[in-house]
Amino acid sequence: MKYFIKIVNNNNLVDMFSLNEIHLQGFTKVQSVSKLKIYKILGKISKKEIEYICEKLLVDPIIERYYINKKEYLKNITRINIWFKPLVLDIVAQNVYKAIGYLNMKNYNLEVYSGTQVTIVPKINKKIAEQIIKKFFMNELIQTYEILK
Amino acid sequence: MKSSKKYCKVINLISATDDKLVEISDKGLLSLTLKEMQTIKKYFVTLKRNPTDCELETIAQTWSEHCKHKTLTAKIKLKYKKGRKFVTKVYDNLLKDTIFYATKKINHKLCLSVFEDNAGIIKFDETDAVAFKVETHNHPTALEPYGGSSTGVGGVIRDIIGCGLGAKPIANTDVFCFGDISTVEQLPEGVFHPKRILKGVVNGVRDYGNRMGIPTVNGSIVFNKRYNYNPLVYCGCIGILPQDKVYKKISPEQLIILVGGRTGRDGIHGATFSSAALHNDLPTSVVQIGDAITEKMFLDVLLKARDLNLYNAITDCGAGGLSSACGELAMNYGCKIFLEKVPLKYLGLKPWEIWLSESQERMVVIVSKELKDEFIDICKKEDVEATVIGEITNTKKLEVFFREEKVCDIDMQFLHKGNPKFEFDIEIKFQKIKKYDKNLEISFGKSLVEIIKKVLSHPNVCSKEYVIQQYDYEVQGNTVLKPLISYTQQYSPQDSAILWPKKDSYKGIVISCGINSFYGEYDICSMTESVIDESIRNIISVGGNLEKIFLLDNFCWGEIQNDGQLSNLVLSCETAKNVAIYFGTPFISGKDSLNNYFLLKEKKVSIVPTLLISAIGIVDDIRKTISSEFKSFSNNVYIIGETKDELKGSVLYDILKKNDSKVPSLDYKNAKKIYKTFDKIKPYILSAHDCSDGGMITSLIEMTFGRNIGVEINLSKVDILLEFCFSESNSRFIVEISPDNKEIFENLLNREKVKFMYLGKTTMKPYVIIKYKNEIVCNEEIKNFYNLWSKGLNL
Repeated sequence: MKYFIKIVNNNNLVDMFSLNEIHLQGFTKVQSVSKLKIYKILGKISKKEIEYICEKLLVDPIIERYYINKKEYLKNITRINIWFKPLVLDIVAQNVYKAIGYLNMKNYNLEVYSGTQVTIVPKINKKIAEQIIKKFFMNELIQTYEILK
Repeated sequence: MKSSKKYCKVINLISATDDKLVEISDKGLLSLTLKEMQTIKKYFVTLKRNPTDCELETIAQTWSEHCKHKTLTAKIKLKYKKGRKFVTKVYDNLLKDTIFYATKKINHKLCLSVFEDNAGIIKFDETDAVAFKVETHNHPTALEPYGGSSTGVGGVIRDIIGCGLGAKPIANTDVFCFGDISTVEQLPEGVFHPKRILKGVVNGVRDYGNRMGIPTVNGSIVFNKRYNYNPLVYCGCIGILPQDKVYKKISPEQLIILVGGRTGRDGIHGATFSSAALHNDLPTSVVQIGDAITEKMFLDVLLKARDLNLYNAITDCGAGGLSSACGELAMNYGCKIFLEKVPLKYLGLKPWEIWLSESQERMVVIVSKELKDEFIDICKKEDVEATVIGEITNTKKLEVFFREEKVCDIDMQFLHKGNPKFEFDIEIKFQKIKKYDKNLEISFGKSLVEIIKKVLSHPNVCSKEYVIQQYDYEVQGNTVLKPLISYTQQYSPQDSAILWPKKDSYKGIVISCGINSFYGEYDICSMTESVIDESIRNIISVGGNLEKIFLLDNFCWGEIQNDGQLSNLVLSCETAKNVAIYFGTPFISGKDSLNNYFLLKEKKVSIVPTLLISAIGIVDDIRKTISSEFKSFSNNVYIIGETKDELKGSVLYDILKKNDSKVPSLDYKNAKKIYKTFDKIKPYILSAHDCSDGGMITSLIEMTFGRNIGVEINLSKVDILLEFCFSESNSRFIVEISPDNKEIFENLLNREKVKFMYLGKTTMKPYVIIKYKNEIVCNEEIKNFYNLWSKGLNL
């Protein structure tokens, strides 16, 4: 099974620091930008168990909520997922994997990946989205990205 | 060894031409010179065989600039003009003849282990010792600011865990040099904007230090556009260890155990890469990512094991990975390593990759056979992986195996002592000093208040609260003097940090640093004098004693093959030696980072030569700590020391874009006299702050913030107002004295013939008032200055 998990802040916080920088660098049409944590968990594990992992490990229930395999609605927004390149140490994923073991799920043969999802308002063309993502949100040396369609 | 290999590649070296040797070094990212390649070839010719990839990589790591300090230990012939004649001075080993020489000459009774182990170690009290190390992590940070800085912190913490038989880290220090944060020009591909670097670096240091439960107590941030392509990150760590655990006890037949994280391809070629230029075409593998949780877990286990005497030696896997760690530990004996036993993150690593990987969070521990099970058990209980990977031998050879195959067999003598010595012939050309423009006021034509506001909001002067408050500087409960002190939601910055590590006495440790990004552009000797003086006076001003101060040097230079850079390095080392000897403050550890330059369309863009001096001192009574914020109103305010026409390289001149005048230099005799006298007047001082970036006026205003206590001073006796306010002359302090102690304080200074000047009084009214020749030239509310100072970074 393949699970895509999104951790969303309850207040849908705007990343003001990045937004200011984006404006300063001349991308003035960007109205809002926000970042959130994403995870990919692959392996023989049920949705119920994934929910348990989310509640116990991945989410701060006071300020965050989670979605599993939620369909993306991309009207008027541009959404980009950033992941580590293969062989780059994904330390968050490694610790999530370890912690899953501490939840008595030691024998699960899982693959865990962590990443960042960036949402830009409004919808912008691919070239500009790539420029923004490379300049402000990722390091091409160790990360890769996918613009959601 | 067999000529054909199953698990490694044999490199045809013995029949290679010089061109081919250079090609092998370049293609393999070995960073070895032709002379070094020829030496290696000669060694293998005598062995009548070619080296394996593993052997060549091992030699390249061990001989790297990072591990061997080839330039600083080079033979240097220096030619310079004295009068009309040329004089030649020869250094057989620059480092030994300058920095080490100073330490040897001073022969300080509190030094226990200097320039030997992973950190410098000094006596703290009768039973314990203090270890201090400062590392640079520049190249990794330029490529990946978050990962680079966090692994910088992780690495230096491991240096402390791996010094002696293991010290407990009690504090971190961090100093950063960033490019111009207001840069708007398009930067080359692969270069991050200084603001992004700053944010990534701070996050990295914060996350690693805070998660390890180690307070980050001291540091500095400087900005200069010359760091736009190559930021500098200095990470320091202080640890405490029992004096009977200061020395390692290695002997043959002991086992080599790898403790901590697993090994992957991360960081391969880190040691050799750190000697090369930055460009935009580097492999992913040079980037290292840190994991504080793993490091914290083995830190706790190793301290427990140390106290149970379960191991005999320890070191960290830093640059060069297992190759450096095992090679150095077994240097005098030899060792056998079995690479197939090394726990891996994933399959598919070649033997040389396992051997050289710079995967973080790994330590190498030497354990006797009888205690192996007990050691492994204690690790297992805490979920820390510990694996026997080899043993110490008595063959004086480094023997590495992968499964049944020997992949490396090198004589320790050749590996550690066989590298050819670098030799340089250089000539020093002294620059003429431009005439100083005494009509400063007229040429600038702005009010004093306007200038003060510009200086206070300059990035090198303004508050670094945004950074400092992200660090936990109180964890472990030892921090007596914190980086910022506030009673009113306004912070006064402190000159040093003071720690109280043992609660059975009032002895403390004081930590400070000195760095300047502008002086090095103009006058390397004055820069060196100034940063050493700054680090020392920062300790003196909080109550430290000149007789118990120790220094660490970190030279970060640009392209070293460039004559100007190398002669600057020699001058800096020579000056550092002279200052240290004069003050009696020995160097106990250091690390250099050379070739900090960026290849911009074939052009080499170097950083400005930068020397960080970190200082550590022992204070006998932490209750006598002096902080910088004014304590009460109606007290007398003095400046101690002499203000000279030394504005070159100052913050004021950076704002005015001027470069006449002189860079602040050091009056050795007077400085020492001031520091010795400070010890006598200490009991009467209520608050003290040193004068550095931004000059006297900046220090004075910073002292008003903490308690919102105003100050009224009269500078009518001063000739040139701007010079007095903004000159960054060394060895000066602003002090606050109760009127009751006026006489005794002034008498003591007069008796010792120390120059000082009465400035004025602290006031209840929260204003900074400056009178000059019967005119009020500044009458500004403190909060207006504070608003500018606190928001200067504009992030």
